[in-house]
Amino acid sequence: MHERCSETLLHGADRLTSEDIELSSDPKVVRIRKMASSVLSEIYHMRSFVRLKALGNQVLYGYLKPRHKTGSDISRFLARRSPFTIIVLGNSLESWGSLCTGDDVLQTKGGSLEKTLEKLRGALDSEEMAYDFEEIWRVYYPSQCSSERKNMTAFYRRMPRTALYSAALEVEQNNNGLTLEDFFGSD
Amino acid sequence: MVTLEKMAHLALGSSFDSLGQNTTSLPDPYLIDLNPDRLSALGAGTRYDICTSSGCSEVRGVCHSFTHDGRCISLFKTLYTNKCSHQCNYCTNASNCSHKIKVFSYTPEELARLTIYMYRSNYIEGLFLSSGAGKDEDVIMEKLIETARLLRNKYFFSGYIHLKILPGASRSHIREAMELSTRVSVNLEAPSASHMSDLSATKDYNNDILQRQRYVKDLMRSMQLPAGQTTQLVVGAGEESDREIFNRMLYEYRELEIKRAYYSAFSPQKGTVFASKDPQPRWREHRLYQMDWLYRVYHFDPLEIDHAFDEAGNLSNSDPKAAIARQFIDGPVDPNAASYEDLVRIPGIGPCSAGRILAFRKRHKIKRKEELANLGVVIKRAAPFLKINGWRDTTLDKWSA
Repeated sequence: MHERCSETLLHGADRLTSEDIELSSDPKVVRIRKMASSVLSEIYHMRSFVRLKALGNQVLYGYLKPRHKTGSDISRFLARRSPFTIIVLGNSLESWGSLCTGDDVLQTKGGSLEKTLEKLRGALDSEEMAYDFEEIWRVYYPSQCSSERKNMTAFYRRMPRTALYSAALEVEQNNNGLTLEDFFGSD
Repeated sequence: MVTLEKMAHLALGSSFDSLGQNTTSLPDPYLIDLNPDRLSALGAGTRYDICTSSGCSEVRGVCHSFTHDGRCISLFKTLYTNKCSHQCNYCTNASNCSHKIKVFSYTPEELARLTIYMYRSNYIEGLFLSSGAGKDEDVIMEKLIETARLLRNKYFFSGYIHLKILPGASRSHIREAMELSTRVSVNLEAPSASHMSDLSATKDYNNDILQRQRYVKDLMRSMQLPAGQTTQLVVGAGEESDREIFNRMLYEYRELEIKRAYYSAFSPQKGTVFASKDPQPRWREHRLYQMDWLYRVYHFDPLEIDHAFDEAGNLSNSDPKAAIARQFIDGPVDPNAASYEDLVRIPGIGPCSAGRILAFRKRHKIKRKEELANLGVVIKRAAPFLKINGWRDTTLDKWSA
């Protein structure tokens, strides 16, 4: 759901068909269309951008701080991708857990990501897997970039800054203080 | 909603009525040999290989990241080995490249482990695997196939796998590759045998490349290959014209039934025979994709598209659709009466907005440009070709060269 969505707006949207939403030029319907588009865009981006780490063999967790109320949808999608594995997404305030059982996806909502992981460590008696797959990405990602094709306008059009921050994509954000030039070694 | 404790209890049981027992055996991540030089060198070896994970009915395209020019990264793209005995004049892995690089190679098990963990960690949607080869393409093809077999059968990987068919690979190896892959491809590199001879002295265009594509097409009659076969050309390394490239692509789409063609603008690499050649402008690649899109998605007739080429058979750095529209659209088009085929021929109107126009006018008449803009039409490009409610915009651009 959109961060600024209200019950009144939802009630109004319920009475519209998909064709109404797509074609109408009524300002209220246009507003609904833009909000729906923003939510769908965030779900699409976060499904792809969220990076997961392992807690034993049963849990994969990742940082997510969405702008809209989309945490449970994204968690459910990733759970379907990895049956038998609990997916936990969250941040310092809230977290969403999902487990795909085939026909259904069980879900839970909790406090901060750290607290949820602590509970799971106890319940599963798991050690955190120490392997940092981010290190693989830190090496692999620059190998795909060509300096002669550099076009940051195109990059930010496809990876909006809000999405980069929501999924905490360090390598793409250059949060470690490196500049783009550091990734383009001499060819 | 369930409690976290119940979820943990169910996950420990690892057995659900609808899924059965969890038989996936994950490899030990501590056995992944992260050799950064190898990972970087073999990844960079596929930098100019273009692919996509879309086009498969089972997997929707998901871009987990983008390069610094906005290209999607959805797959773990890598060479199996960068050792190659072919003499391709544009390639840094070629045996005739004077800039010697360190030779690296994976084992199938290493590659499978890397892929499965990157997939579970949501970095990738699948694997794109190519390799250097040359005289021992059968040996290398077996390694590529073994990697795919480990992913499918040992680690129960159901994601996307794209295997490159090496030039000269045997029909039986191609069959095995297709059984395990979502998509396969053979790189054409050039639009004809004569142009190929300028690029590589060791590749036989008809036997090593076209014949392998025919094998794939024949095998697809009796086998499932969800995302079909694709191909790729290097643009501008030789003296080929855009019309020659387009004619080759027509043949590929019609006769060999490929799903997509990709175009990679030539970029000179240090130490290669073509190191001193000029790089191709990016717009040439962009215009070729536009021309490809007009044929494949908009279903323009090739005779229409032919009007976008100049006398030398090349595309200019302007929208080919606009050039075709200026040739073929005699007068302004009324969006309230035009057919779908007429609408998509107008610059600024694509298949989506044309569909919306047809749906919209079932209920309302289009009276203003703003209504068209609301439906996704790019008014700035479309306006010179439209007549709305009896009024038309006409600008000098319509008649500009």
